[in-house]
Amino acid sequence: MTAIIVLTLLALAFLLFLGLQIRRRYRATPEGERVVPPLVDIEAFRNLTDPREEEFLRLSLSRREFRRIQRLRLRAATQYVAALSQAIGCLVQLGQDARLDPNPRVAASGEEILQRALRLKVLCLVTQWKLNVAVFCPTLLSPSGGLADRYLHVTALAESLPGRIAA
Amino acid sequence: MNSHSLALYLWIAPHVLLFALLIGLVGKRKVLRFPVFFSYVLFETLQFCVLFVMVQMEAVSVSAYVNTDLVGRAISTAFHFGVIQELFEWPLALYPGLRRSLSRVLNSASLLLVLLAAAVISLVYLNELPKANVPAYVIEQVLDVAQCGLLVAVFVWYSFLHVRMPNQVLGISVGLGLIVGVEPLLYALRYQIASESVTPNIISAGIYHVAVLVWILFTLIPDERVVTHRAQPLPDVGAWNAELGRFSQL
Repeated sequence: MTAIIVLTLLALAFLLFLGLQIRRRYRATPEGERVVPPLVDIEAFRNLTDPREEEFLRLSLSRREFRRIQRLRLRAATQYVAALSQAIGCLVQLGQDARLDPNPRVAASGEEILQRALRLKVLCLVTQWKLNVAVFCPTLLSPSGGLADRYLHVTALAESLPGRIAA
Repeated sequence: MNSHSLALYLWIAPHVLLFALLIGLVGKRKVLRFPVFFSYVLFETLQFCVLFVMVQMEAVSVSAYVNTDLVGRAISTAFHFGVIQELFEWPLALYPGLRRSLSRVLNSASLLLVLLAAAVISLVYLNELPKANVPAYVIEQVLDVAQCGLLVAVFVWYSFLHVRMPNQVLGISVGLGLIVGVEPLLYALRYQIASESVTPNIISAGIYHVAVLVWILFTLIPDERVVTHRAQPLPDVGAWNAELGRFSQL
């Protein structure tokens, strides 16, 4: 009998989840609930992920001190990647909106922004995993700064869209 | 309508509707968009035709029918996993490299979820089943629960990517979710409480009917061409960085 009760609860919870997903999909997004992209200091992020900076710290500090500082740097970089991921989410939305534009040139740009932003989103996820692992062994793994450049490239594409789409 | 007629209707009608869905998918040129789902629908329709013919033929034994049904269910379950993988990969359709990486991650995640589901189901049946001999329906329950977990992950994945789920993806997910979400409970009812009753079978067929209707409905609804969510002004990124630079100079 316990099995029936537990499975009933599981089924109800899952069906409720599906219902909420349908509701969420078709609910119009109110103005106040728009996702606001977070501020991302790209230069600071670049600095945190700069291999030369890391090498400088490695040479200047004792091994123990370097590990401590590098852990702090990696934790900060994780926060930056999380913020960047959120900002890229806004780029995905922008790309989706732009590709529905009646102007074929804008639609093509929107498609490109969308695809590049999706790729970046996945890259953010992988980078976050790597950074979380790197926190445990800071002397072995180094974060990559390529994410910032790619982000700026997609942002530049978004900036080139006509104002009525981006605004 | 007596229970026999209702059961017969619920057996035939969804498959006739599946055939209509096949025609709709071909007509709307959505076959190549979701080829695994199309193959799954095609398989379900063909499987029904085979089983229906087997029922009509007196020469076919009950065990032959049961075995065919069992093989069909196993293939359907495999298709379910394939369809879920297709839903996961859809946003990255233009990146074969990323898709390959994602599919490797998904295979591991599926295995992990099956193990997790097995743990959940074994906890659920603690002291209720013989430990030496696990019935086949328990394995089906484990696979169904794992699929529920994967479907939840599909929604989380789209939410993480900030991708608006297309109607067909939502429809396939919800339809599949209806089938695999309630089936573990129905198995338990069927084999533990009401082994003689046809009610669990009728409920199962009814849910399958609803799932097919959901697939048809969401396939027919065109994805909106109107911009419903206006994005924030991203070009301000340059201005933010300039402002931050100004702060750092202070």
